[in-house]
Amino acid sequence: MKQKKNIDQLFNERFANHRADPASHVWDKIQARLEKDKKDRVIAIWWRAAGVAASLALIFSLAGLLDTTQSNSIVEQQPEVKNNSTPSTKIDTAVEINLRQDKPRVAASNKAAQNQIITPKVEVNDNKTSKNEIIVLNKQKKAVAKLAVKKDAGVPAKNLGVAVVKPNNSPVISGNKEIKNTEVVVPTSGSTVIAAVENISPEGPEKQSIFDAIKEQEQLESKEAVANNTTPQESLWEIAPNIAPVYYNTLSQGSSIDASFADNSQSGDVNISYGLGVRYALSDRLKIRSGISNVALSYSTGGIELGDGPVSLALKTIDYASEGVVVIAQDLGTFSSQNQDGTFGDITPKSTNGEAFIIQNISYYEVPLELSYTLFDSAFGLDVIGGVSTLLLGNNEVSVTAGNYNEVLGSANNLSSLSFATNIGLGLHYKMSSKFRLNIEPMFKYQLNPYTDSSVSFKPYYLGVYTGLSFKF
Amino acid sequence: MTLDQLIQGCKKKDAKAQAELYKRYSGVLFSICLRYSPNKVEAEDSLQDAFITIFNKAEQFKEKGSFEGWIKRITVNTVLQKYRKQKVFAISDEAQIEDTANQEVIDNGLPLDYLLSIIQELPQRYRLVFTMYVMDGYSHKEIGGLLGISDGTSKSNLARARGILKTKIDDYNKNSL
Repeated sequence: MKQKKNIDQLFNERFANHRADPASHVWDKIQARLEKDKKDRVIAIWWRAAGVAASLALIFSLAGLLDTTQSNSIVEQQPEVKNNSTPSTKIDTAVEINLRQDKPRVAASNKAAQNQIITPKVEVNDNKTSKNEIIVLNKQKKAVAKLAVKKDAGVPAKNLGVAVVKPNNSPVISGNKEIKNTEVVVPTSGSTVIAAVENISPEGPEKQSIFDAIKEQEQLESKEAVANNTTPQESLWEIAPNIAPVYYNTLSQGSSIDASFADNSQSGDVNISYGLGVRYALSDRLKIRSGISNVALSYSTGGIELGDGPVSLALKTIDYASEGVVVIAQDLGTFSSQNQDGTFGDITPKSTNGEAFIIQNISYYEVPLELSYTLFDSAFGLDVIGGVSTLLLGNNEVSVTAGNYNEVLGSANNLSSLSFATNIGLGLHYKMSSKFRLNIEPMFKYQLNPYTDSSVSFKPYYLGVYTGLSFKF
Repeated sequence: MTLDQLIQGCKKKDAKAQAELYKRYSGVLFSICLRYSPNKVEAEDSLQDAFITIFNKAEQFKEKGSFEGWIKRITVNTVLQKYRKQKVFAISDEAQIEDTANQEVIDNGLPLDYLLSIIQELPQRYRLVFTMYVMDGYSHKEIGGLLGISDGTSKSNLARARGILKTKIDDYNKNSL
C-alpha cells in the first residue's frame, strides 16, 4: 500500500466522501436558537398587537368620556329649552273663584273684575316652581284663585278647569293633586262657588287644559328626577397603576439550570413588578381585571465553582454570548476530581474571592385576566381575587458572581417564550374618595409551563404584594 | 420525504423538515467545518451558524441549482466570514512563490484523523486557502475575492501550506517506520 502521491490528490481523495457526525448538543443548540428566533418574532407580533389594542382602548375610553359629558349637558339644558318654547305657561286664563260664606254668588268674569278681585299675573319661569305658582288670594272672604293654565286651542271651553275652594280650607292650592281633587264643580247650596271663566284669548297657538299642563309638569319633573339620578351614578371603569416587591422561589427541589445543581443551596430573590391595571365592574361585587405589567424575577444557585474552558464543556442550558473559551460553572468539587484523571484538562479553574453563585435573571411581560369578588365594602374593603396570567418572556440572562467578580454567561435556552400562571390572592382596599382607592393586594402566582423541557423539575412561583392607587373614570 | 418535500418544508420553516435536513446533511457539512476550523469546538459552532443561516435563507433557494451545492456554499461562506475578520494571518515570505504543485508524499495508509489534524494546525489563512483550492475547487481568483487578498498571495499561501503539510507527513512516515 506504500505509494507516492501528489499531496493535493491525497487530500482531495481522502476527504471527497468524508462525513463527520457532530455531537448531539449541536442540534440541541440549533433548535434552541430557532426557538429563540420564533420567540422574538412572537414578541414582535405581540408588541404590535398590544400597541393596536392600547390605541383602541384609548379611543374607546375617550369616546366613552365624550359620550357621558354630552348626555350631561343635554340634561342640563332641557329645562331652559322647555321654558323658551313654552311661552304659553304665561297665564292666559284666570279662573276666578268668588267665595262667600253666607251667600253664594256667581261671578262672571267681567263682573269679577269690578268686584275687587285681584288677579296677579304669574310667570312660570321654572319647572320646579311652576307647580306651586297657583296662587289663591283670600280677600274679604273672597278667594280668588288664579291658576296657571295652558289653553288648548282645539278645545277651548270643554277642557277648562274649574276649581272649587272652600274658604275655611287652605286657600293655597299647592299641588296638582289638590287641584284634581277639587275639580268637581259643586253648584250646591250654601258656601259653594261657581268658578267663572273668562277671556279665552287667541294668544298662543297651543292651548292646553290645566290637566294637560299639570301632566306636562309631571313629565318634566320626572325627567328631571331621572336626570338627577343618572349623573351621580358610579363609573364602572377603573385604572390601577401598581408596583410590587415580588419574591421568586420553587415549590420543588431541582434546578432549572442543570440537574447537577439540584441539591445545591438555592434561594429566590426579591425583585420588582410594576404595571397598569384596568378593572371593570360587572356588578356591585364582581369585577373583571386585566392590564399589563413587567415582572422581574431572579434566583441564585450556590455551591459552584468557576473555570475557563471551551463552550462544548459548558452548561448545556445556556446559550453563551461569546464563542470559543467561556466561563464554565460546575458543581463544587467537579474540576479538581476531573483534573486528576485528565479529562477536564481543558478547563482552567478560576480563583475567586468568596463563594460563587449562578444568578438567573428573568423578566416577563404579564397580562393577567382575573375576577375579583368583594366580600365587604365600606371605607375599608376586602376582595378575593383569582385568575390566570399570560407571561411573555422578556429579559433572560444567566450570570455568575463571586465576590467582586461578575460575568454574564448568556441566556437560558430552556425557558418558554410564552407561558401561563394561575393567580390567587386577596385585595385590601381603602376608599380615599369616591374616585380614589388605595389597594394592597397580596397575590400568589404559580407558573404552569415555564420551561420548554418538561424534564426540568423546577416548579417556580412568585409572591407579590401589589400596592397602588386605583382611579374611577 | 423526498428532497423536494424537504426543501419545501424548510422554506415553510417546518420543524420536521428542518430536523430531517440536519439529519441528512450535517455529516457532509460538519466535514467542511472541520477542514476550515482550527479545532472541533469551533467547527461545531460554525456548523450551528451555518444551519441557522440555511434555515433562515431556505426560501431564497432557487430550484435551478443543486441544493447540496447551495448549502455547502453557505457553510463555506459562514466559516470564511468568521475567520476573514480575524487578522491573524502569518504574512512572512508571501512574495516568494515556490512551485510546490508537484510535491509528492508517501501514502502509507495515512489515517484521516491525522490528515485532518495537520490541516487544522495550519496557520489560519494557509488552512483556508489550501482547503478551498485543493478540496473545494475554488480558483486563486475566487479565493482572492472571498478572502480579500491578491491571487499572488493566495498562490503563495497555498505553496506554504503544501510545504508545511509535506514536512509533517514526512515526519509522520519516518516516525511510524
